[in-house]
Amino acid sequence: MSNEIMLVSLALIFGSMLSGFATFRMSGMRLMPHFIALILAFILTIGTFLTSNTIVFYLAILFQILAPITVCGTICNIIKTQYQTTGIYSSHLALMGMMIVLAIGNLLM
Amino acid sequence: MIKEINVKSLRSPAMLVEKVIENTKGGILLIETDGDSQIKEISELIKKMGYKMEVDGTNVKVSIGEIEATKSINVVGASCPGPILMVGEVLERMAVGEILEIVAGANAFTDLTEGLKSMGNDILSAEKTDDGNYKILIKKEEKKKELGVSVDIDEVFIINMTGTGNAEKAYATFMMTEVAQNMKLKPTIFLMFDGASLALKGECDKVKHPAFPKLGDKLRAALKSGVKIYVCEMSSEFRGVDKKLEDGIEIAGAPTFFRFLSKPNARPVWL
Repeated sequence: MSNEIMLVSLALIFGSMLSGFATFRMSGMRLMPHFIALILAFILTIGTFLTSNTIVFYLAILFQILAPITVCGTICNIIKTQYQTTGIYSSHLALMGMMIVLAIGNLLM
Repeated sequence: MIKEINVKSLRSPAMLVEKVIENTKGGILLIETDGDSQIKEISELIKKMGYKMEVDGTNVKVSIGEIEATKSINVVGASCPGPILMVGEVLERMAVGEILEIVAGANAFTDLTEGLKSMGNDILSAEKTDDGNYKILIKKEEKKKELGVSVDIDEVFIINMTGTGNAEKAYATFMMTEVAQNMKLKPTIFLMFDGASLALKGECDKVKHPAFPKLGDKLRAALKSGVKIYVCEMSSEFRGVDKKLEDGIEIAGAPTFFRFLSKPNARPVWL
């Protein structure tokens, strides 16, 4: 586990949650698997710092990977049918993209 | 052939109308009347004679038989704004009073009828043919200048450009429709750009705000109550949703859009 990468991941997740709330409001407050995965990733990432437990660490990585994957269904539809609105979602998408790279990096280092 | 007669102030207009129809082999008879009582008498006669008729204000239009067109144009296969441009070009070379026959696909039907009306022309007939296309007969007219008079607003033209990506505006589209209906205003919805996503079958069912009913239910309720919902042909093609539209939603284009936007008795609402 690399504490530095995990700290950057935590910052990204926190930023993602804030930008995610904006998109959540825009899209009509639909509770999506992606939303739940992101919150679990946030809790588990904090848990990693607090407990130094390996299981919690791997679960955090798992949800950091799951969160960007679960958004695909929604975002693919938006990109296909409502691409003029994607500007609103772009900050959230950028953070999601970075999160998955950092999660894989954390796993390898 | 088109015949025009004036029966204003006649006590028994049906007698004159009957005589004229008997001496007319085919075409359209335009009757200028005083109003309701004359229209009622003429309607009964036309019904008895078995002809089709349309009432437009105080005027009655009776279709007696085949109308011979001066020119004919086929715009099947062309997409917006192609049909109206092609027809406009032909019309420009025609004289006022001449009749043009247009064969058009379902995608261009509304655009042509609405667009040509706003250009001042008279739609003589519009029929669906066995192959699913439409045959429209129009008489070229000079565009009449609108007089600067005050009119009562009795229609609203609700334009959605954001689609389901902005749930609040999507809900507002149908809620404003309901409010307009309650206020005895006739609403018409036009979906363009991202708004075209609302027309995609099943897409509105994915939007459900905790405080409101399903968006899909709102859309279907609007359609059921007779509200016309148009989706921009180009926007729906851009998004690949043109082949999977919710039942009852019609494809239209720029001519329909401008026709509604230029109606003096309608106000646009942009969302």
